[in-house]
Amino acid sequence: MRSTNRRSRILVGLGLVGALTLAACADGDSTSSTAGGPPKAPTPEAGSPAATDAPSEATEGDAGAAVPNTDAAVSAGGDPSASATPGAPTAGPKSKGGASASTPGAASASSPSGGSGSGSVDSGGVSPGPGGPQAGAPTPRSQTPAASAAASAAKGGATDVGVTDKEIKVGAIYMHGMQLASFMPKPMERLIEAQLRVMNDQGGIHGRKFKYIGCDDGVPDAARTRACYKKLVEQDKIFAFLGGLTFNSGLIQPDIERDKVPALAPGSLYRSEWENPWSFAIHMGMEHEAHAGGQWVVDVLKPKKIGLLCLNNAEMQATCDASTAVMKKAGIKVVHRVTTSAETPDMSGDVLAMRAADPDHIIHYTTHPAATARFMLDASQQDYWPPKGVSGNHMAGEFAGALIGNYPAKHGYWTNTTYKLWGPELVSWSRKYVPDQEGLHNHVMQGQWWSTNVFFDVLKKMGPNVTREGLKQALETGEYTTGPGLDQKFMWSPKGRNAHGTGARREFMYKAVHSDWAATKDAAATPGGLVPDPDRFVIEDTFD
Amino acid sequence: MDLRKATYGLLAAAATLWVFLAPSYWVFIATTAVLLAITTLGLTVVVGWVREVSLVQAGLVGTAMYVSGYLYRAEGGLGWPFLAAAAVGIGVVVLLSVLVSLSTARLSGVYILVLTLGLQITIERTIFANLKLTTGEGSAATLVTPRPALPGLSFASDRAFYLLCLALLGVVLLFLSRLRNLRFGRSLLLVGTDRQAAASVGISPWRYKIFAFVLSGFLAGVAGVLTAPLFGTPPYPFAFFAFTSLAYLAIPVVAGFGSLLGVVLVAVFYGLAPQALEPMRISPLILAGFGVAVGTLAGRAGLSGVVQNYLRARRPVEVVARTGAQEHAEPVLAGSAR
Amino acid sequence: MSLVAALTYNSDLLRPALVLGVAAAGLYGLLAVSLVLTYRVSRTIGFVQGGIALAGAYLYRSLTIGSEQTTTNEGLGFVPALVITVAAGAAVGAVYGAVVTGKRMANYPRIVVTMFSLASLLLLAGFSTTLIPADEGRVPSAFGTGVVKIFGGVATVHQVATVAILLALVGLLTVALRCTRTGIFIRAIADDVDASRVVGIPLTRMGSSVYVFSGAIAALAGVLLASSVGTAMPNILFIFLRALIVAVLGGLTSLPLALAGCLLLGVAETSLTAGVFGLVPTDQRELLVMGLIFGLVFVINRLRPIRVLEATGF
Repeated sequence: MRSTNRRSRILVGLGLVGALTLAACADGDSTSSTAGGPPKAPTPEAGSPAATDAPSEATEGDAGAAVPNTDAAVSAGGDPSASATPGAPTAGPKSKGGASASTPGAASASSPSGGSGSGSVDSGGVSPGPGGPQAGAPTPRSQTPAASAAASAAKGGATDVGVTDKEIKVGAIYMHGMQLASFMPKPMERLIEAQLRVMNDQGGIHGRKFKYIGCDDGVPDAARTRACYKKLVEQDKIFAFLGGLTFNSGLIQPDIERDKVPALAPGSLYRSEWENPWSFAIHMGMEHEAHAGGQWVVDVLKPKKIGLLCLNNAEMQATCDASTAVMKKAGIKVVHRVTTSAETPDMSGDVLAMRAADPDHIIHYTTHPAATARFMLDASQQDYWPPKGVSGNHMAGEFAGALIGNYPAKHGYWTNTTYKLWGPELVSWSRKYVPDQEGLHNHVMQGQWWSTNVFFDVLKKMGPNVTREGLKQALETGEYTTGPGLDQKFMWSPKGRNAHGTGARREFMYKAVHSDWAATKDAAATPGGLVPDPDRFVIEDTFD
Repeated sequence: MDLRKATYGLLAAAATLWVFLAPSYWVFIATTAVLLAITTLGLTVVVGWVREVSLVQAGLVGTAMYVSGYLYRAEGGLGWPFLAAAAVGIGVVVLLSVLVSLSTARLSGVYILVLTLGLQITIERTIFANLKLTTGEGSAATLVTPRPALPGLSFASDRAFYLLCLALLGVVLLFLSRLRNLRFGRSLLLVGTDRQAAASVGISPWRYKIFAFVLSGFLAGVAGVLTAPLFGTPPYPFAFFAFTSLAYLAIPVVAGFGSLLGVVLVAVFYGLAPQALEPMRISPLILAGFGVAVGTLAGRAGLSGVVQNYLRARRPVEVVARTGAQEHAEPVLAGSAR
Repeated sequence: MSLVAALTYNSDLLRPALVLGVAAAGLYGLLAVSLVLTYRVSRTIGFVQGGIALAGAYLYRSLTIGSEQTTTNEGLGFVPALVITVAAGAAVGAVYGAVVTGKRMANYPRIVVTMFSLASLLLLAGFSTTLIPADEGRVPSAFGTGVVKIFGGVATVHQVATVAILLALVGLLTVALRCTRTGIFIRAIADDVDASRVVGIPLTRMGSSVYVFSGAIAALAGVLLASSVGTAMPNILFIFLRALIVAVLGGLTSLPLALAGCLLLGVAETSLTAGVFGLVPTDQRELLVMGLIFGLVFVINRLRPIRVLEATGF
């Protein structure tokens, strides 16, 4: 018996030594995504508040690897053949001096300007104006279509990871296990899949069709989010992320930056998605929303004291801090701040406390429409509403109006959102190709739909030599506009990510008039129950 | 060498060698499953051995993860050495476990269950609400906890980290199986089986329950301090909420308390199955509910009980008679059913 | 700000907070009742009741509103929807009871049965949210949208009705458990299963009946919650876990003490949130409430006979 025990111990000891030896030798394996250590946090310089600029035309270039195209027309009736979505606006970089998609009463963002006339981007041809590429920064390599085709042919069409002569692989992570999956992740994925399908039916781009690979990370589950990321990037070898919606998107930003995988149309829930140079956010960052919305409150409503309703996560707490900073500067007191969680079922105590604090106006930053609705419903049940109403963000969803009922509209409610609602081009397109989307449009979906069109246009202009780096450079070059329907523009250059006059700082304020926010059945597809605020419709963060 | 040892050896070899062939994301998921196994082995000591129910295990894992991660990382933290940070992280959850265990002097059964549930919810609303510890203050914070390194050994790669966690799991398994065969371990089992009988032979149920909770907390702490560097960017707190604790509890119950290896296998399955079935987009609730329902319906002693009964039934009578004298000496990973 | 420094007393807020706190107790009460009933006959935690409540909320919503979003009202009237939902809850309770009292599981360890109950909750939650997609909106209340002003506080008619139903149910059940034959049988089973079997009490039938009745109560809770908090799974499950915590005030065996626990939780939470004792941060609020509840648990445990409280373990 004793010898059996000794033998067992020896075997176990050998096993442990072996495991540790293997562990030492296993470092640096090629399948690991963490070779060289875990990723660093995304570099923050892009979103740094100090780096503010006026919008200006960054660069132009010819078709090919670099995108900027002088004849990009930004209009609802863009050339259908240039887009997978007939009737959709051609999403492309804005030409110098071209029509500006501005709206009456727009904030003081000047139309992009600067630089020389139309021409290709080549070395030294970039004017280093504010918002443009800095002098010394790598300029997009220009390639003629022939050169692009030759480069692609030389590689047999496999110009980069996830690209072959026949297909381009894209992927996304959605939290299909969340309770509101039928209202958010599922319709959002459905829409992008439909866009890809229609493009494939039209023959794809440069002979390549799209293959979409989605991954479900559950409720979401952090382990599954990370596993989905590794699967899509390391196993499926996608070319880029396109779309996606998960509360864990902040977790994978360091990985995206480390692995240099373009992430287009992300959920844009976190500031890190703005700061990551490989992520191309399509929704205004929360802190900028707090500044812009706060300044609207200060200038239009002129309260003496306000209350805040904030979700208990870092992003929303920082957003509420940003709002507090705006109020402090204007001499407005924050008399009460409620911190709530998503699962709090009853907020009547918070309503009572808010009533006792007696603010003139309440601003909410809770990300989740249901959490905001809970407060408003409990408030309406107690017949409490601040005299100058309530405002806040992340309520721009067709189904959200019904969540809060008519009481807020009767007593004063406003919500700010990145795009004009709901976008006739988007709604008409989805009515045609994805009828199940009726009543399910939301502000993130608007951005993802448009951004997918941007993706198509950029790929077309790059020519067959499609690379990740080329895509990134193309997206960082120039200004991308949505057309008058959604009426927004973005710049993803390092300085442009914080530029005035773009979706990084400019939004729209809507006033609720009743609880039905669904798109009207006519071509305008405006939300019946939300109208542009008559005092100031376009708002902008000029706070920092 | 008998069949059991050969089986263990094969399992250990398979668990070690498969990572050299598998894609990285499976290695990552398997590592989370290994850490889950360590957590639920700790729970087995409390639930299976001393027969108390703890619904705070997820909260303890999360607490250890956040505390040790905050102490260890340089950016957004204090930059301590990993072992020191780990020691403090584990120490905090052990202390919380001691606090819970002290009440077992007067309360038992459903009271301890609800007390631990109350502690879980309190942790959610206090420790997990502390943004400095968890996700960092300010929306720009993207905290990254690097993988630890020992002299001459780096665990930066997923494979290396998996093997480290697997080695630790092996140590835990060996320790628990040895413990169960020692006098101390048998006393623990007696406390769970019949408290009064234990007291009558001079075994203090209270002291042993405290030890069980401490050991459970310790193992939760070990899993937690390894979770932070595994993920790099720490998971958000909702990954460690009350329902996760309930899910953890289900694992040793489904596996059956008689087999430590069974607990490990069920934990690994629980960790791997959702990702394996991901293309089917099944609701995680349905998946988990189905798994637990099947496991509990399988038999009163769990899945391992079913397997053990089957193996016992197939065993020839002469082998039992011949080896009967040596049964107690075997390194029992699949223990005898109570 | 330290807790001590923060504590002040705002008398103006006390009465409205009391009113709202009592109303909040209604959220937890019915679930606590079904948990107590289940525990008395089985000595297991009836997680399935949480699942029945959740499924009941979803079913009631789909029967009344009749669409995915809280925009239309195309379904059945409140009363037929209520009857169907409660009947469905009873049916699920019957099936569950048949399984756990059946030959296979009747002699299983309690922890295993508890985990089976948890599995049932997960399955009910999973199927409800998959088959009945619903936003988290509130179903219009069968009691209308009126409000009642009481002692300076405002409660909705729905909240008042919920509390009234809860009080009536607890009263009726308490009387039934003391004065009816069935009630005495149930108490006997709760006290000593073996003795009950010896004296000829039909254990399986009694157990199944309790599960049916508990399922019906849980479904009723779901109906009422659908109008109070909406078809919000995280919220309903959160309420269920809170109900479990407060029901332990009476060792999960006493209906009046479970009710007292609900009132205590509702009033304490609402008072602290509303600022009756000054602005207490959320984390400290939680510590106070939990400390209060478990402090009382210890006290009551010392005062009541040990035999009644002692769980027989698993």
